Amino acid sequence: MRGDTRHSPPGWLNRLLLWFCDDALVEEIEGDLHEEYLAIYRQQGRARANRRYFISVLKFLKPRFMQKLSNTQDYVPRFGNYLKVSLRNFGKYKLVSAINLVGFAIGLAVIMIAGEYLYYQLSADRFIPNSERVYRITRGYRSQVYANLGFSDYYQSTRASQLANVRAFGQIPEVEAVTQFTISNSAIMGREFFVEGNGKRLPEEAVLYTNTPESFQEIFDWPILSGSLSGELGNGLIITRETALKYFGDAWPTMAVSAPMRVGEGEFLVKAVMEDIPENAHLSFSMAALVDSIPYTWGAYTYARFRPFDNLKAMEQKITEASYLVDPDAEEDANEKGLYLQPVRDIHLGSNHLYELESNIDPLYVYLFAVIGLIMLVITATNYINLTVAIYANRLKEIGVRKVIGARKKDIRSQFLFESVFITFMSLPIALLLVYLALPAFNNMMGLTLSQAVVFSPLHLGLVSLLALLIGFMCGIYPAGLLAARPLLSLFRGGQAQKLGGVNLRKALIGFQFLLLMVLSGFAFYVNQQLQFVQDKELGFEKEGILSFGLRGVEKFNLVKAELLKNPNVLEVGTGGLPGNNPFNTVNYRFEGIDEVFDDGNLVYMDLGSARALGLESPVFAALEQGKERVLVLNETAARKYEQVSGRSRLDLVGKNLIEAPQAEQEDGSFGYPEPIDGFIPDYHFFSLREDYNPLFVYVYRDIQWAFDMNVKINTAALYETVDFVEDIYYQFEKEQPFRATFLEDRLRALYGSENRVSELVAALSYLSVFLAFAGLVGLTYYMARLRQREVAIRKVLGARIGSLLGLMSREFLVMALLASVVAIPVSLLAINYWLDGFAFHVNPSVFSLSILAIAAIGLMLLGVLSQSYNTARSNPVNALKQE
Amino acid sequence: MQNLGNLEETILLLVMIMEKPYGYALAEEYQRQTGQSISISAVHTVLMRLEKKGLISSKMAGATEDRGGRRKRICEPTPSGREVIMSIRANRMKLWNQIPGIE
Repeated sequence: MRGDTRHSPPGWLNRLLLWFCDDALVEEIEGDLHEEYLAIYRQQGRARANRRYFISVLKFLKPRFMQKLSNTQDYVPRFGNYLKVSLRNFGKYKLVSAINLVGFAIGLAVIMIAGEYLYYQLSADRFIPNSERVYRITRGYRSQVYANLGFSDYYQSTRASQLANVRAFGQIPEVEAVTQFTISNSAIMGREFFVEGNGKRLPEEAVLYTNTPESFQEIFDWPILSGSLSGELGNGLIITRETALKYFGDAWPTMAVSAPMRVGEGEFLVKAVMEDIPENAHLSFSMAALVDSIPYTWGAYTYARFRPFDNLKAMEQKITEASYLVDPDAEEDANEKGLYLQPVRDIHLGSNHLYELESNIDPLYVYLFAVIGLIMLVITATNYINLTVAIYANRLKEIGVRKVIGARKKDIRSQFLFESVFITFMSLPIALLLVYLALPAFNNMMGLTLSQAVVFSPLHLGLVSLLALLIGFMCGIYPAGLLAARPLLSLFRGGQAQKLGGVNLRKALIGFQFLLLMVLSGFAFYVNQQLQFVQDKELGFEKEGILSFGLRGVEKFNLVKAELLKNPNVLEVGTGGLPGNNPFNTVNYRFEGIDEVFDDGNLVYMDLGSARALGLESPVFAALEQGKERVLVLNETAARKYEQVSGRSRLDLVGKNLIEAPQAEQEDGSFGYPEPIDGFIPDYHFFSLREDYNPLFVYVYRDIQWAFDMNVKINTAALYETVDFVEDIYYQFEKEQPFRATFLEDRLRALYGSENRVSELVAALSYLSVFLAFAGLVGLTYYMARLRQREVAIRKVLGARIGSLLGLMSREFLVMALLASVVAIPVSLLAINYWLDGFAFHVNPSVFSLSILAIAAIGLMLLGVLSQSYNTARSNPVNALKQE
Repeated sequence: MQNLGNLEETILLLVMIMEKPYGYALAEEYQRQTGQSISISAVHTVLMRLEKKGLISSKMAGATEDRGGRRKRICEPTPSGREVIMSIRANRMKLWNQIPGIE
């Protein structure tokens, strides 16, 4: 193509163009000029074309078209070389590399576990198909929301009355399916059964009863492993794989289906075996009994799947109206607030209605863990940036030489980015090992089952690798940019010990790190303090040695009681009124003579045995011993409330009535249930310490006419043998219900289960963070001190004392730490108070204690700094000065 | 709103008018349309600026024998290029319409 030289522009001009013009632009420019040349050549001849070409070429002699000078050399980035240099530097700076490696490994491991935890909690109940369209129907009543719906005739319900609501909801066009069920260990059934199958008899805590099996399966779509749910389902049983294994052993796939099982007093046939329920579901059961009507309960949990709809409020209105058709009385009830639709996905994270199926995790704690994970990552990243910048000061010559050979800024940048990504990837296997080792302990601590199979699945591993890449990149940007931007000559000037820019950034990073640590440890400290406080607080009753267990029926109760009292180590036996509760349904009431109606009271029923076991005291209890059947005592809060609203003394109340449910009309035309008040008792913590004292109306019976449970006060000197004795007596009289006993102290501790877990977790992670930050600081001061060797030596020669040298080297850190503390104390106070607000009774965090904590932290930091500076300050100055 | 020089505006307009515009062809067309000559390096400078401002995009294609087998950088206005031209026109028209006695 270029063969015809007569039609070609002069060669020397072309070579000139090729020489100066940027390689990326030369093709188009040459082409255009050539085209122009030919056009002029054809019209005006060779001479003019040549002249024009000359001018045109010269006009391209502008910087923008010219080859960049640095590009004239061929510098090819070689990753093999980067790798070699990286490895050599890791070997040379062992301390820093170890700190970075361990730091990244721990940081990545924590982030990984936090990520898995977050995923586990946030993906709860997603196994339900179309879970975004599945809702639980809840009821607003008084100021509370019930997780369940009551049957219109409560304990007297029949199949027809139980299904009335379900049928009414089913009439709504948007409703695809409705189901209702109750699980035996829920608060509204509160039972446990012995289950017999395949010759075994075992206690089962969580038996689900549903009277709507088809839609139950349609909505939840439990994976069926064996058997089927077609045909006649009445008195059928679905058992989980775990349950099948428990009763039928490894042969369950062939044996379980069609096997008869006895649940409590009911006979069932196994219809199907289903997969175990995901651990993060908001409900769990070991078997589902398919029944005509749900036994032993006054209500059921109701779930419905809807077709997509726009307006939640309007739909709730429809549902509410449907329920009023079934139960017109409810509409008249002034306490009735209507029905709500709760998205099923929202239940697990923090739903806290009355009678929840499980105590749901507070989202605060879920996010708290994620935040702490991020804090640890920031600490690790900060360490990395500080340490690398410090040791890179020794690598300026290397960069200089690379630049002289022709490395461009971006080559230098990519080299150092490569190094930071490389070290994060080196730490990845260690992080995975840490996760592998820590996961069982973490599961144990948090009461979860994150499975290795999920955590180490290819998808999650891929995400973690991506994260490592990202972290490595983020950590590398600053040091890489800093080094690449350095002017060439300054790289060679001076000796080895050069200060590298970014002193201010380093200070800021250290200060920020210190701030995070202060906030974290301050928070951990007060979480711990609060839990200690909760543990030690006087609750207003005696909690030692009280054993409680379910026992139904007053006849059994009296028989067991009589037997137990024969043992001298059994001090008291009673029923009812056990403290350590989460809030339950309140009651409407008014005081006689006052019209105002309140709805913040709770009714408590117990017998004298319980009152004595708990050490509750009131002078009016004496009346019970003299033959009075029952007394009603008000707690201090109720008495004070009366004094406030009436302006009269509480003593006025004695002999007057407390009117419960004052709106309810009686057959004789009067309203409410009047009960004569006998006296008062001091406030005690009937609920957890999250709740403030509220009015309690305590009925104490000499001989109670019903019983659901038994509270036994045991001589603590002979605790264990007496517990065995109680169990023996129990089984003499109760054969259907398993013996499940808890000590009151354990029950109280269980109220703060999630807080205790959080406290352990926060404490463990703060220790880790402090360790990481301390290691980073020690590493940093070690190198900083070495960088300042000559300065220190000269000062020494001029007469500086060791003390002042140490002061010189630690001043920078001290100032930053003090500044950080000043910011950290209010920030941690804010965070702590936010958390403590969840408790009506709590410790009061003080600036003073936080300051003590800050001083301790600063002391620790100085220890780290001084330990490294001391060597430098003490060394013979001649050694440092003779280096050159 | 980006500032466009007079020459930039004209070249951008030409890019929008022509089919497969490139450096030399634009220089030719400029001369044909305006009667003034322009050097190829000036056209290239303007094209580089326009591309940097994101008003045109370009790709290498279309080698011919007249070019000694070298490819052209063929330009194309980007949506934001079109937008800028339209807004310049609108601004001009607004002013034009205010001149008394001119319809």
